[in-house]
Amino acid sequence: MSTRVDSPTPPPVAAASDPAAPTDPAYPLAGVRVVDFCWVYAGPLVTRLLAELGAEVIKIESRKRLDGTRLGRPIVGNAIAAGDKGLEPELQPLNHALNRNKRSLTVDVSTPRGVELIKALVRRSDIVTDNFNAGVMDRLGLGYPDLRALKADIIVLSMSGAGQYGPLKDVLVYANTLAPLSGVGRLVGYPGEPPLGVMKPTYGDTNAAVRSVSALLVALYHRNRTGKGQFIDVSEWEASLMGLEPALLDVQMNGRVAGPTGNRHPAMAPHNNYRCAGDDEWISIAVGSQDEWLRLVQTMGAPEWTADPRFADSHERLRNVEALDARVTEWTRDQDARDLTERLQAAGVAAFPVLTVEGEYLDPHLSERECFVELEHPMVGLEMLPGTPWRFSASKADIRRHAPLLGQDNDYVLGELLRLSTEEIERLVAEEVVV
Amino acid sequence: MPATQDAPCLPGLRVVECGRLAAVPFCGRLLAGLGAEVIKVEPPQVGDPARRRPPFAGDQPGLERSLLFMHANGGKASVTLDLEAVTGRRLLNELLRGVDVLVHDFGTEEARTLGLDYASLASDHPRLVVAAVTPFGSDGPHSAYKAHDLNVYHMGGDGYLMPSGLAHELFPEREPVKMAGYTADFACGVAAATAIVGALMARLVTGRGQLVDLSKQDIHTSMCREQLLWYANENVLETRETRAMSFGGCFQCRDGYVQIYVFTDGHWDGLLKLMGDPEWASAERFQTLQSRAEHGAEINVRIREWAIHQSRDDLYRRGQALGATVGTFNTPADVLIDPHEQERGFFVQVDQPEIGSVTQPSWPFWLSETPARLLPAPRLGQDTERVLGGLGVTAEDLVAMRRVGVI
Repeated sequence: MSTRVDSPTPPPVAAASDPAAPTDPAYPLAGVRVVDFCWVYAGPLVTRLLAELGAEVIKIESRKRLDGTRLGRPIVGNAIAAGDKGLEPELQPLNHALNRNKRSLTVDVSTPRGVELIKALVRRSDIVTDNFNAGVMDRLGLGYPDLRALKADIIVLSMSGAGQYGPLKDVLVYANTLAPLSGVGRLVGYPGEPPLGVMKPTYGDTNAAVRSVSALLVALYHRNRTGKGQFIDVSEWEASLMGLEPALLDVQMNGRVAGPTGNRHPAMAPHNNYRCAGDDEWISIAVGSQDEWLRLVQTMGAPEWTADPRFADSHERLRNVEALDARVTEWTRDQDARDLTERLQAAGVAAFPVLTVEGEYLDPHLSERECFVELEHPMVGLEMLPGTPWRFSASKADIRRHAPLLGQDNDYVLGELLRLSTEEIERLVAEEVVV
Repeated sequence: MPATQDAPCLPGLRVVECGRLAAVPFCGRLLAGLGAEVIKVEPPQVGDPARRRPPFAGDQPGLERSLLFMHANGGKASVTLDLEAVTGRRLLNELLRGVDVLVHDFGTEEARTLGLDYASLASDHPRLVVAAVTPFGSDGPHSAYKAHDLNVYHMGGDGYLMPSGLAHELFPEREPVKMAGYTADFACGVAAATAIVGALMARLVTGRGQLVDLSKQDIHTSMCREQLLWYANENVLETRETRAMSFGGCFQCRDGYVQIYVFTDGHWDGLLKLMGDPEWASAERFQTLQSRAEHGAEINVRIREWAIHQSRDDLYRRGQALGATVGTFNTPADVLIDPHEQERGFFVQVDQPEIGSVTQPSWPFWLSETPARLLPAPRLGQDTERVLGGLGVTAEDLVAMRRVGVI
């Protein structure tokens, strides 16, 4: 197999119309530069969102230690070993989705000269981000005290499994084990059954990422008004734990230790997914009031069972929720989930198909709102990627550039930003500092 | 270590929140915690529907006793205004004069009826940042659809893939399930707060406000879920049955549950050590990641048979030492006394009127210079007279308005 690891670095993008560093003030973060050590998933999602708001994000990586999302093809579960062992680090759609708009600088930060380069870059930057294990940045000589000495108003965000201090700061966790540890996992499952074990890597990661972006933006806003930077310590564990309330309050105030709740709600019924026609098609129906119940009854054609006193009000429906769900399923199971959604929504009942992966792409509403965008990648061609979460009426948040090839912006960062000569850059490459 | 000084991040920022239940109130809570003055506008008499949602303190319902409401509304002022009355709408418009942000969850039609559509707001308040948080956003064929947290979760694509792996083996024919509680809506609240601060940053430059159109479905869909990328770009369609992790998941122990997750050879080696190097694992088919993936169901059976005799805390402790990714299933009660979180000061005591002192999780981020704070949630309408008085409404008028139910 041919390898592109050693292929020459492409020329830098022209600075004047540079999509990786927009100067248009319509971008809320125009002119903000981020030195980004984030890798794998949660961290790159943070800086992806900053880049969409117009920040210039310089991803620090190296061929010696590739970002995990550059490895394998495809990384479908444990089929990772059937991938390419990292020989083709430019082919991963997940990497492209998480790193679009960003630059790539390949530097070996385990070398003293590499650390010097980073320090020079930090002097010209606003934010530094990482999601290494606790303490890694300090050991590299790039902890917050070091960085603040270089640039007094720098904003530094470190995100790790359990935060930068505390007895468990070195705990070995992934998003999948965070959910159980934080207590959230204990509540996910079918009522009366063991917890499912949230085999859903995204909750711990996306949840921590969005919260991190909010912290970074307020820190930036504060800096723009006062001139003061700061350090932000994010614990993914704590971010997951935020989803546990009000169960945490319930245990304190009422002594009730919650178990798996499934799709049930303590005050609403019906409140579940109901099987529809087809293979593994479902509709979610949530009835929030007696008025909505009556609308549902009407849409069902007021079958006789709905007059049963066991289903008369939400208290009775909750007491008889299994019988209720069985009755509703009898009605839904031969119907098309989309048609049924239209009828229920027209009647004022909150209902929607449980969207499958395929269903998301086929959803006309998501298409109309451009929730997926096609982006040309030089080595892959057109790729379909998820869009940006926000629509601003006056500001811009968008996708302007494909994810960087490894080291794509080395010449720009080293030459234009750090003012190194071509000879100096060549020496750094020869000495495997830029690698 | 967390800073202790009280130096909020958003001092002087004034926010009006017209939010119900979880998403927009949580956005307001975040901004209030960061130092903004958040005025929550609620309908007279009944308030935010969250006030009537369980759980209640001591299982006693009451407008001031909902623990959901308390969680999502810390640090705000509460003003009651009947927005269906002309007087209520007029007072809200006056209130917005000195305000930086309006965040609400009215649908497009509802907002127009209330005079809160962006065109009307912008002509009176050009500097106002308006964030509208709705299930499907302000346009598109589903923009008028209703959705509760359950629907939001399952229309974002995550729900269909739960349960999976080992759990799907145990519950093959069951319905897809959601995360517990209001996680889908809380996440939208955080995303809304983030967008609001983005719009405020833009205003520092332009001097002008704008509308931020937040669709809960967009927010959940736009997170980079691998399954979406694989399907569109690799032609790999994932279902609950084919879900990525072919073994591992939740295992029952004799005294609780653990999560075991094997991603690398190192994790596998650690797991085998934890299991006492069982003989079955030496078979050829368990020697590579790929081959183990093909025999995942068999591995799950082996782990299940072994785990049921173990203690969860012992597996967690020893597993961590051996490099096996083992997590224990803490209950909400366990979490409250977790020594790590106690040392980090993550839980704080809040003295909530009519309920008493309550331990609450604070914030998942520590801002070293501008720490967020956690304060009690407001009683319904507790600030009505102060806030409306500040607009020049006389005491006499306040009495008259109260009599007709406008406030």
